[in-house]
Amino acid sequence: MTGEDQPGQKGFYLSGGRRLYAERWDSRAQAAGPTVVLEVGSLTAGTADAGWRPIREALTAELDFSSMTGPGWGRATGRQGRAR
Amino acid sequence: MGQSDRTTGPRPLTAFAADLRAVLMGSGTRPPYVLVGGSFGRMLAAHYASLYPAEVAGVLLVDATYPAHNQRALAVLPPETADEPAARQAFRRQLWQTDQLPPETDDWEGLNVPASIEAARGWRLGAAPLIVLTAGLDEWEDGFPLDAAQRYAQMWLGLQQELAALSSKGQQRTVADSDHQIHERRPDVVMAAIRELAGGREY
Repeated sequence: MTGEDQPGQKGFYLSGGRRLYAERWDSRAQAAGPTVVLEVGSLTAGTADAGWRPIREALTAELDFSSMTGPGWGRATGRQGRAR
Repeated sequence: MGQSDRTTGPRPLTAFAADLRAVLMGSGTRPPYVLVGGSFGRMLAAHYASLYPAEVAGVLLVDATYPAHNQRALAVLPPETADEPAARQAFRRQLWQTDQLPPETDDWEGLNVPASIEAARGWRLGAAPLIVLTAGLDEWEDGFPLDAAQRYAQMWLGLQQELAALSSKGQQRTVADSDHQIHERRPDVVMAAIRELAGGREY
């Protein structure tokens, strides 16, 4: 795997006694600028959401820095097909 | 399922925002942030920006929903009848399931809906740069009544405009050729909006 295929940093972070999983993707530029936080809202880690991957790749290529969190906040409901 | 520890029950948006902040701070990811919210993340992005405005350089909401969405959607549907078309009945049931279950029940992605509706009433984004992208296309199952779909579309657009009005710099933009999955159908539009917000340019 190259650096383009996996996050620069991933791991667990504590919040209220829970472990939260997150991934961070650093850009090639590494210059100062706001951090772009993609909250894709998925119950899976953000990078597992293929729909957002092209955007994440574009971010890391173009912008100063980007970060994607994919904490999987909640519990799986098993419900699919929401209109929104 | 994500790799994070499970929650023990439905929680308010404030708890989700605290989790996000813990992750950002814990990973050394310092503000300012451009928050991009997709799916459930749209509500979280708006709530985070309202709670921690000093940390936020901009917010992008992609066809964002709202805690009170289901209530409003149910309100635009005609009264339920015994011979209701199956598609409309299914939609009604879906809305009801995610909004009317008791709070202790596992519901909308672990969200405590009543508490979150209340929290959303307090959303204020000041003059934060805010772009709200709205899907121009809706997809309905065959047999879904056209009049109900039209009312729903009007309700949805109004909701999007309300979200944009959270900030004095808010802009609502309709992506005419995309359905709800704007990030997949028109990633170029999403990227352009992120560039605007991250670059701090006038938009």
